[in-house]
Amino acid sequence: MKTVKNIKLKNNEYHPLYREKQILRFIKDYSGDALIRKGNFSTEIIYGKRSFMFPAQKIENKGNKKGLFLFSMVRKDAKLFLKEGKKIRLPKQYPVNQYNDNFQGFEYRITGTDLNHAYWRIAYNLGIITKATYIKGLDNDFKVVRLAALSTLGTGKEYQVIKNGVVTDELIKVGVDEDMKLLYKIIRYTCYKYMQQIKKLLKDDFVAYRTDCIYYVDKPENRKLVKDFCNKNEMLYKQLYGDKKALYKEGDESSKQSN
Amino acid sequence: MARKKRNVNKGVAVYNRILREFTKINNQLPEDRKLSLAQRRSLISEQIFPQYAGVAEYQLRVRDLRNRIISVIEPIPPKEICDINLIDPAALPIIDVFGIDEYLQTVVPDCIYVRVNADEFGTTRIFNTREYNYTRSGVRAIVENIRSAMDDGMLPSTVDFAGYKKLRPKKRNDGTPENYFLDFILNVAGEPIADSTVVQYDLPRTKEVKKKETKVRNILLGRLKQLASKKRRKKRSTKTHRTNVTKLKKIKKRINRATRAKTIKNLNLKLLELYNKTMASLDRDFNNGLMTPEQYQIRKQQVYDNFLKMGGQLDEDS
Repeated sequence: MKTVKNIKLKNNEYHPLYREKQILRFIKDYSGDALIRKGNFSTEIIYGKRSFMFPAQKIENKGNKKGLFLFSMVRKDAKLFLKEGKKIRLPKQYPVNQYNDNFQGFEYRITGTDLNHAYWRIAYNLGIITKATYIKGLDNDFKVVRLAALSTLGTGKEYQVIKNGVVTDELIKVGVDEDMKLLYKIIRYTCYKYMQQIKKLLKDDFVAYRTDCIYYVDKPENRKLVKDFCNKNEMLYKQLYGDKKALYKEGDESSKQSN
Repeated sequence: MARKKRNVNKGVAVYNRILREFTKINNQLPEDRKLSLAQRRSLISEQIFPQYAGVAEYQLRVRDLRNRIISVIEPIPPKEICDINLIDPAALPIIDVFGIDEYLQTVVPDCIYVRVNADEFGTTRIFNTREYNYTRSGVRAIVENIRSAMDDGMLPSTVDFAGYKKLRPKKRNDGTPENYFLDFILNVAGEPIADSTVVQYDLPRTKEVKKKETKVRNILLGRLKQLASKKRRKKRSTKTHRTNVTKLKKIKKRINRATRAKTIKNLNLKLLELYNKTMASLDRDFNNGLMTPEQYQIRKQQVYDNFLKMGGQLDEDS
């Protein structure tokens, strides 16, 4: 698939749905070249240096329509961040999930600390998104969208090529930006790095962590360790209250312990 | 009986003579160098006529006059934008039916041949945009026909114009700019209602041609952007006016409900402030061309009436 870093557009326009057919017919009459992308919420046609946006024919999963403005806010903040020349080193890559295979304390109560909106908060702490963007995205309704806004940084958009007025199967990717992609990687790796650091602090009391939630033996000193770490790194969290049931490793029946 | 001498304004006679000569020279120029009547009049008034102040018509020397006119025309560069072959088709696809006049006046270059073609609703002749007039060219009649068809339900609201490049009658497809014209055809629900076959002529892909294409494209897209921006500003101006009138009414209700003298006084001051702000906003928008003079008068009257109903008072000076 061909990749293009950027297409400099002069005009971005929004039109009602009926004009989509008109412009496709127009491009066909002129045997012109263009690009077309059919998304979940909109269809985009790039013709010349103009971008024509139309609402999608059928919007599936209307629930996710809320908060779409976050995509452009995050992209804008990230571009500004890169433009200002701020550099962040990519942390070492740690596993997304990890378990303590040597854990012996199954008789103890297990608790967990879940980092609230971890990626979003890390993006804010690192300065990749501004305070305004951070606050706008905190609404629970925007949970899926804010994650998508971060994960699609620099991934570009995929278009179908229209050649001589005919829509072909050829695809082209526009707007791939490795520097923006790197920002999302930094956010993820930072989160796993935090999990690793807490794991080291907890030593044998560490049970497991999954992305942004860490499980450990419920002792006051452990809770304080985790709490202090989170406060030091300006991460928000919530404490999970477990019961005496042990934590099971996925797919491993032998690690199951009865109450 | 002696013939009464006609009181001829010598100035007007000289001016008209200059204009006649200028028109003759203008008609011989290539399309990309021709000037509209308004431009010719402006040049005559500013640069040519002052040199003949006090000169009688019989004293004008044709050769001298022609040389002066040519010296004025020569520095004016040819307009690259007059070559239809350089116009990017992306500037032509979607034109609002009721905005066709503005489009022809502001976006389309003022030196190319066009036609507005709405088939059964009317078709103009092929005319040059240099002398475009909304009524005289026949575009107004077509738009009114479309409007009444929409009102009667014979035409849906999903209609637009789109521009198609075609060959003028009895002309060759050889790349000469004046051999082509733009046919603005009415599209109903995405389908053109007249023949939309486009004439293809590929210019040589030299560096110079590409540079000109880019220049013309940027000019047209810039004009489109300005047109869209003006449309948005007009819409916003109307919305602002409505909001301000609503605010005036709300203050009235508060004044009517209020009992304390101090509250009434403060509300009246607020009312006056809002009245002044609204009027200033209307004046600003009118000066920026966001409303017609009729709309301006109607809105001003609306604000004034609402203000007086509120019990507001103006000093005699205002």
